[in-house]
Amino acid sequence: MGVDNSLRLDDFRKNLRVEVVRLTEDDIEFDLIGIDASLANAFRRILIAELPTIAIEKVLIANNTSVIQDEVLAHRLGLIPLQVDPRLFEYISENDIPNEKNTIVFKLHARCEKGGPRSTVKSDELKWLPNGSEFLLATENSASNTASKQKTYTSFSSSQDSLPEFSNNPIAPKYPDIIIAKLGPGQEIELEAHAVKGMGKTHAKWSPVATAWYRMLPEVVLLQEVKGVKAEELVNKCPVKVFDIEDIGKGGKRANVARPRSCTLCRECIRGDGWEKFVALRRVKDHFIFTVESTGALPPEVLFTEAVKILEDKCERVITELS
Amino acid sequence: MEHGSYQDQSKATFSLTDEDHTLANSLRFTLNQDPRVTFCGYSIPHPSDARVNIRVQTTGDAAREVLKDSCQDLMLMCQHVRSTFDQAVLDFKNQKNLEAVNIK
Repeated sequence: MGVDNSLRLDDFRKNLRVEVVRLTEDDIEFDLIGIDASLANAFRRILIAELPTIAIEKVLIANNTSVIQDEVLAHRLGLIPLQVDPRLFEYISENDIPNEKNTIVFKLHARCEKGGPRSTVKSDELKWLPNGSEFLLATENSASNTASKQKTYTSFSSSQDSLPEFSNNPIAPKYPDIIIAKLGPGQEIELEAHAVKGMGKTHAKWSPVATAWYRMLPEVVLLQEVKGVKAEELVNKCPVKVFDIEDIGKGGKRANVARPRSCTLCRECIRGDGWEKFVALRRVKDHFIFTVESTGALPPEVLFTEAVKILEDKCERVITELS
Repeated sequence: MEHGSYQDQSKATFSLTDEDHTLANSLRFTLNQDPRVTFCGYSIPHPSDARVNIRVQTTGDAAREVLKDSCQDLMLMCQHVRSTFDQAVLDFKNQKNLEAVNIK
């Protein structure tokens, strides 16, 4: 029993190759070779829908006299990417009390002076409140108003900037120049936004990737030798210069496939009479060129590692369910 | 949830909740790799319900054990992908650092 499986696993371990082509702060392009399409697709689906992120969910609006409606404003706030590691926070469910472990509170108070020019509210005006909500809950008992402790919409027992991760880098939107709203003279927006952890499955604002996709490596095969004038013609046909000319002595020319990776499968090379006999266009079944673009919460290589971890967790859950 | 027969343990349908093509297709792939499996497939009864039915038929072993082994194999494959990827990213970063030093 174990023998057969371990042989296959050894084959898999021998054949799997990962080559990173490009790695920047925001995106990564890498090749996964020797893996099956179902696994590659599983990673892509998890990257888009099941990696947790933090985004604004509840917006408490105290004053909004701008032309942007409350719900439109709240929707826009939800889509702003926040630069905070979601692994440091917990999920919150319906009946949980918002505390410093599951909620991040932001404040936005913008006013456009009457008689002045129109102003733009950008995302850098969202200020982080490490001590929690500042809006007070309405209480019926007037006697308790004289007491020192007043209840707010969140119950933070400690300040979030006492945590080492946040003490020197405050939580803020990743990009400070996202336009939230535009105000005319005399208009004002005063609100508090609570950000929580969620998954792309529930709403796209919680997707940590701008997008993540893969394509399979194109395979361009010359079925017959293409020589002389035909070779020149072939090289000129291709808009992305997949083919190259090589000299074969006595002034003869032959076309060869130099850059199959840049092929877009536009099929220009087989357009025209008889060209289909010379060129075959296919894809390599187990070579995936992944591109992952992060919105900023986590670096893209960490995102892929987390996605693989989530697939492992799913398997673990099935195993425990079966035992 | 396992739907099968007490008499014949080699054939069963496993109904997993809160799952979709992500896990089911990968599991189906690893199940097919197992030589003990004669038939395996998955279906999603309705796209609005997050439920997947995985059918496993084996050459005699209990279907539940075969599915568990396939899950283990999938976990090992994932761990290997993760370690290979981390190594590749490290190599790439080191190579970039070397190139930056050489240019200077």
